[in-house]
Amino acid sequence: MSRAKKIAIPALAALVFAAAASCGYGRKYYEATEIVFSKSISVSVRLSGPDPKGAFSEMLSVINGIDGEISPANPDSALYYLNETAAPGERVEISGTVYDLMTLSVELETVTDGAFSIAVNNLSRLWKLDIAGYSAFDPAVDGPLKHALPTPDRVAEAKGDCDITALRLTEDGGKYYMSKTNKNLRLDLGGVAKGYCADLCLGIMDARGITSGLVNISGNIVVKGKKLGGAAWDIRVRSPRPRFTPLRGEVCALSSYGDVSIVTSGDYMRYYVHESGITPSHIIDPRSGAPAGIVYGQGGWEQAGEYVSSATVLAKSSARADAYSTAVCAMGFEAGAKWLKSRRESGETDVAAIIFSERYDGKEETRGDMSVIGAIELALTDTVNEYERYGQREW
Amino acid sequence: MVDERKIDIIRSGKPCRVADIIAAAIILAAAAVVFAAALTKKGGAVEITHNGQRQTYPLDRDREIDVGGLLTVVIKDGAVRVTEAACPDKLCIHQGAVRHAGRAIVCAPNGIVIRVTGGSGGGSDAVSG
Repeated sequence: MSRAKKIAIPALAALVFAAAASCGYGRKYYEATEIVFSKSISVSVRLSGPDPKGAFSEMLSVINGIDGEISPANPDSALYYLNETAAPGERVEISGTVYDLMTLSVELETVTDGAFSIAVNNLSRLWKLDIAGYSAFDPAVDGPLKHALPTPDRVAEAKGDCDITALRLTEDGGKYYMSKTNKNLRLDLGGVAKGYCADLCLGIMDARGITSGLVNISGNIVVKGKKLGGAAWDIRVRSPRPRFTPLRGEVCALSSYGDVSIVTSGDYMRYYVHESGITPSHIIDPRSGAPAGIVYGQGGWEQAGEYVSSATVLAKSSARADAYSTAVCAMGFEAGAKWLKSRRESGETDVAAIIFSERYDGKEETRGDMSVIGAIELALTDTVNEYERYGQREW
Repeated sequence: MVDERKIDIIRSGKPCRVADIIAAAIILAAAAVVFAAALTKKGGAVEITHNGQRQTYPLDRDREIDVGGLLTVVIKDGAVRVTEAACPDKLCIHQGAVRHAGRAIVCAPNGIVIRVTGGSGGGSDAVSG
């Protein structure tokens, strides 16, 4: 064979295989899903980098460790003991990580002007909007529920037991403790725990040199870097309506480069319909003691004229995005949008949001508006039911 | 006995034309197979994982699946969704239908993951909400 041919043929083969490889054949993410948190949430990952399996393993280990301490349903957890058993002043030991999480949660209550709180569990139970409460309602099968709604006096009483200042967090000789001054204080970290865990997952990716990845903790999403191939991540926001059927699609598409977290809170997954005409959902406004969007009027508890159906917050910190999206639902549409804008103006320029509102005229719900805060690359999509486009309110 | 003509040809470095053409053809054919395999849109599949066991079904055939007596999963018109669930909050039903690779429906209380794999991409990377 001539020298030219000896070089040309292997070179040709190499070129062809390289072309095939660059088509994506062989460049893949490690993808996996596990169910964690005492079988209540799922963690899905797409990771590209060294030892993605080891990284996922470490993430699960960290997440399950935190759950072991803060699960309010697990009788062996530190939080269960604090909620159900501990006497006032009795110290319950927690890890440094959970101490951090709880300190952050207390701080977030201040930052959100009290609209986000980890201490509302007594109110959730009162309104039957804790897990046991809203899970008893199946919109496909059940008619409106008929239980007696709490009176404003009962709400005020329960609200008194939802005071975060009754929580004490202490450090002593390298160990960490929590205790309560009010026996009735009950904590639930459901509104911030997923975000906090997602932040830890981002840290694990950093430490292990994983430069492209996505972690999705039951809808609480963090993305790192760009996708393989250099594109931005394509994240969708689930449409909050229609509420009583499972056939909703996606209402908008976000184009995001990492590192950023995207978290959505809304009123369309955990709620019930009540015969009085209200449809309360699981997000309680700690300041009023009532579910978000529910107000006390002349005829008793009523649906507010306008309320938030879904709030999606983007931020560098997932714990913050998680708490902020919950807070915006509690604040309501106008106040929530204004508050987020004020956050941006006080230096949190990484915070951005999409808020959907709904209006109620006493008879039926009608689509409200959509508000976009901060610069987001965004496109409205058509949902499964060819949902009418929202009007847009500027902030 | 060695054929002197063949030795002369080899020594001279002139191309053994037929052999070269066959070699090149084999390499190109192999490359074509690689290309075809990489670019072919295989039908998408639905992977259902439960109790550490995984069952796979093609996405392009309509069917109804009972998962451990806990969920009813329906594959119809190239998409999969949960229609009945024996779990407290039925969030898996509310997640709606998925059809794109990488998307999943999870029933956490029952430990069931329903994931779409393979097939054409073009879906989103994740859904928040």
